[in-house]
Amino acid sequence: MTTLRAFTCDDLFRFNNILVLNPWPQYGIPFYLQYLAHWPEYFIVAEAPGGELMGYIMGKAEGSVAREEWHGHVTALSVAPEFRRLGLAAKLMELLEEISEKKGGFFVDLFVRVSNQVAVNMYKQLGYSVYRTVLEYYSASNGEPDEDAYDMRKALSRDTEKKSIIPLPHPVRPEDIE
Amino acid sequence: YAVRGQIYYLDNGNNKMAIQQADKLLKKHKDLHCAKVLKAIGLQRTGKQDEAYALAQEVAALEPTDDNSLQALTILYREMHRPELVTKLYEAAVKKVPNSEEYHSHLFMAYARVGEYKKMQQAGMALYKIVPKNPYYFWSVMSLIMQSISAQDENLSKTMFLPLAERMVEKMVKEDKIEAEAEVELYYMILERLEKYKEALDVVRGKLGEKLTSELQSRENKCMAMYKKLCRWPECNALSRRLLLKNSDDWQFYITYFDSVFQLIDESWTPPPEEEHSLEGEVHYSIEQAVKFIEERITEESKSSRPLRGPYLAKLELIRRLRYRGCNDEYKLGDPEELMFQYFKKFGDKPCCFTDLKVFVDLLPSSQYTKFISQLLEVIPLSATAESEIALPADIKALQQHLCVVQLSRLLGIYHAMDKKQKLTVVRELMLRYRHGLEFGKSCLKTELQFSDYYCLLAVHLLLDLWLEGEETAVWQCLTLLEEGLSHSPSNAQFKLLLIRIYCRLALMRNTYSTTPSGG
Repeated sequence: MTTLRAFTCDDLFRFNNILVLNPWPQYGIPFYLQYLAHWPEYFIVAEAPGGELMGYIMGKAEGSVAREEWHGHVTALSVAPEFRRLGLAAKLMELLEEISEKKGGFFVDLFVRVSNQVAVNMYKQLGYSVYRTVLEYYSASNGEPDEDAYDMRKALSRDTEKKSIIPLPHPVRPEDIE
Repeated sequence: YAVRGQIYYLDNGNNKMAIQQADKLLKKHKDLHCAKVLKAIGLQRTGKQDEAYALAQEVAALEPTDDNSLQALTILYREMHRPELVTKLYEAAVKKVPNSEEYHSHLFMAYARVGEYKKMQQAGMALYKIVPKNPYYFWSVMSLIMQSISAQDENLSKTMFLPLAERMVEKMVKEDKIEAEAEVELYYMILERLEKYKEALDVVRGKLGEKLTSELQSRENKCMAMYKKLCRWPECNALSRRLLLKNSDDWQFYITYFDSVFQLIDESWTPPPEEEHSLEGEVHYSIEQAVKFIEERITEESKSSRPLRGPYLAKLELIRRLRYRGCNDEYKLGDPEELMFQYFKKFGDKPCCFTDLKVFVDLLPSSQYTKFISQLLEVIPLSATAESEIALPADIKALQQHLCVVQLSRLLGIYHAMDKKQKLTVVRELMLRYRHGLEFGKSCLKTELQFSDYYCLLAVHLLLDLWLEGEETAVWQCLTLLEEGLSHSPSNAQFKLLLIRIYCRLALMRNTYSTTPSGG
């Protein structure tokens, strides 16, 4: 059973259990505060009956309306190991999509490591498809090669012809992204 | 253009070149302010703080009004962590160019960085006078709220700052000039802080409240908060009931639903004849209705292929509340033991089953603990094989169910009551299960945890208990087991934290550093 509510500054002191498996490097506090200040409606946390934080989602809206690129973006989505397999990630994504619909977005997108098959499959099940590959998007910290990312998208109702999710025929580089 | 060259060097961390470039420029144009400031930035970044500061102040003393110098000085002061110098800079600039919207903006931001709320308020209004845009007006309003929050004198908050902020917003409301959602949010915030809950509620429920669109359920959440402050239990109940019908898994609304039902019962509330129960619709005001409501949610959920946990846990919460009031038996909700057993049968294979049941174990009588645990164990599909003396799970689901029971056993103190020999037997068994469970996790990534990690952790904790009771050698076994666990599950933060704590206790600092880098 899950309380879904707005993330608050104080939650920053309580959500280590969710972050604990994130690959290095992790976001700093200024990064979270920036999102909290700018897009608080997208920053949602799930809390268990015992008071533990179960997971959170963080996102933003950006892009030109005129070019039909106004969209919701998933910046971070994480569920603590002890609260997995409850459909929580799907629920949080559903909320982010609902907010993006309210804002009149054309689509929702996110970046995910090409090697993260578990995540890629989860997003596919939620209706996302690979729009393009971004070469060397994730820079590695320890001498290993940079990793490519999939830019996955899901069209929202404003994109009636589903133009936003037609895949690009070729990969792009990080510099080419708006 | 040479100044751009300097900027390029600075951006790329080449401070030496930037300084050289500046000196070249200054030889030809010794009063080129911008070059001086960029040189100062280069100096600052190479650790020559005093030189940098002196150079910057040369320029600042001339009270520059060109954009480049101002921006460069702002960057420099920020890197020197001297935000108050930026305020001085722009104060001088707006004196010289009083109609500059841009400089007044920067001044406002500069004040914001140092928390000078009163000056922010004035800067906001000055901006509004130059260009009457709503944001500037409301920056002023917001600065008043900040003054009220930070005021040493609570009275001043309530009698001066907030009322002034309120009047400012009311003026805009009267003139129908409210535009943005944030303006309505500010209005709500002011009224709430003034404890004018009725007025805040009216704003949210009224036309202005229609602008509250960004956050999901924003209006409902704010209304709920106000109903609680106003002790309007009929509305609390009706609204939480409606929200639970939309999402029967949201725990916070079950709590509100129960709180409000019992408040209404204590007040002997009855619905008004021939009228709406409340502003928010139908109200439940008796235990029978609450019981029926929860049972209906459970019935709904049991039809789903992926039932939500909410209604089942809500039933346990209701039992707790009724017990507290001394009246459980009459409502035939059932025994908590039975309900928790049924819950385990449904959700025992989920990792959260333990943390869910943990909330309600106080409903179990301690005399029933062992029986309860046995009952749970009976329904787990375990089988003994030729090689193993103990019955083991055949898949991950069964393993998770068994883990839940082991965790509950520890929580209920079943291990605590054992003697040393029995505890060591348990440790042995847990480690057997741990190693067996590694089979299921062969395909786990390095960044994931092994399914059976908790067996290892619990074994370690039992050994720690023994160590703290005086068993000297137990700690060495702890360390071995933890290192073993870490080798299979390099991302497990709990293994690492325990290792760090134990090593520190044993004053083995060397190993402490090798276990920390991964941020666990």
